[in-house]
Amino acid sequence: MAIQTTFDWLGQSAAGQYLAASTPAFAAVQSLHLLALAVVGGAVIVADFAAARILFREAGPAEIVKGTFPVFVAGLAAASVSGLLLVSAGPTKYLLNPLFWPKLAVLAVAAVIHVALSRVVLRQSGQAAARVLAWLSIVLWLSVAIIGRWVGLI
Amino acid sequence: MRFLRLALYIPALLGGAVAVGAPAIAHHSFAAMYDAKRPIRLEGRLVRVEWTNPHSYFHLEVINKRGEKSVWACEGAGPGALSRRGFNRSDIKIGETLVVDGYLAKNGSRIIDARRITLPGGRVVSGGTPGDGGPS
Amino acid sequence: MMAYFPPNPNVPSVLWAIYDSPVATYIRESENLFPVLQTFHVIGLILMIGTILLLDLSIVGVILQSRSAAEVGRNLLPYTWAGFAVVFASGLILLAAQVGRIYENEFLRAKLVLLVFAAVNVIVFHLGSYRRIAHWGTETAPVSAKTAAWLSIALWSAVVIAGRYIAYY
Repeated sequence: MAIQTTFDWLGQSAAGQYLAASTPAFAAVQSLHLLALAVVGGAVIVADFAAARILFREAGPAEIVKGTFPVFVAGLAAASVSGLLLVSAGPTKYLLNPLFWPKLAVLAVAAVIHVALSRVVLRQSGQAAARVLAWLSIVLWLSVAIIGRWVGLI
Repeated sequence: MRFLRLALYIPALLGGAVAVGAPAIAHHSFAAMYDAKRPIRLEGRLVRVEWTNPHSYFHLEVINKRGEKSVWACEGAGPGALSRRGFNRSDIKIGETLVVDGYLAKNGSRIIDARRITLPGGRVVSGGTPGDGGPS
Repeated sequence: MMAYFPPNPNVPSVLWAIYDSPVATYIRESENLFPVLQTFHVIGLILMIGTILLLDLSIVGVILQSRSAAEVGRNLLPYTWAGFAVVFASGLILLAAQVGRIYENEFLRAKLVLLVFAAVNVIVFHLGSYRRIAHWGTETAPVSAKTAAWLSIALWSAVVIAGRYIAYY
């Protein structure tokens, strides 16, 4: 199975082997993963609430969304890289974890919705669509955070 | 200007704290680090149970080949994770003999990362998700 | 990892009394309540640090330069405070449930010290340059404000990192 071999390959990588052997290094990567999540969270809250006209009511939402999008991208990139590193430290553990795949699925949908929302706002395509997408995005990202926390708890 | 100077005291204080704290942290080994290359099987009498979050602890009185007794701690997951794997507090009683398979701590202390527990009666239960970063 | 048995004699009796209390014990031995508190702690952390980070980035002039710092602060700080309420309350309860075991944990001590520094930074900033925030407009913030903003980013990040490391002691 392609997924199995990809995970094996990740586990055999130099980074994977190093992180599997060094708990301090693993803890460091996990901390960065959490900080990246806070960065994404901040950008998502500001942009989505601006789109829903809850925050920054004096400003046009397009300006706020545009201004925070680089922060969203940077945070997501950092979270993805650190996440990949964490998985490479113990691929089997995550492969077998019943919450891992749901987390990735919700994450993918949340990212797509947030990007879609950003496009809707920047094109000033419509208030109603923006509000729906904004709340959907918030709920999805909240779910990513909660599922992500429980991956390590079950 | 006054507040700028105040603000500058903070990095100085921070630098001082780091300078004092860093050697302490560097010197102390992570007690929770387990060695994937050093598996072990412990068999002993259960003398204490801590059915707690974030980790549970089963303390076994182990008798070595020379007849010397020592108490070892076996670290497992929290109560929720254990019960989801079919392991409940009522499954074990003080005084019973348990067999625990796990990994030794890197710093040599008498604690292991419990991966599998064989209960009296033969049922084998999981110790739960390994401590993050620990071997599976 | 400190063993409960025998109890750590270095823990002050007041803290041990809290740790050993029926409520703290119930939380510590719970199947889901403790993990749920951990979840609230993370959610509160994301809300507080996510919003304060964006405010700090706008003060140092990295994002939202076209909006005044006063406007950004006015919009975001209520959410920062809401996040603080959640992370602080959940943190106190989680600490009460674990203090008997983690009292000498170096990363817990580092986290608490860093929290004090972060709080001092917040107080100094709010009593100082923040009071004149309305005057900055959309121009560059004064140096003292930017310093406080960079310190805020560094200190809160350090708090999060120290907090995560507690589990590895």
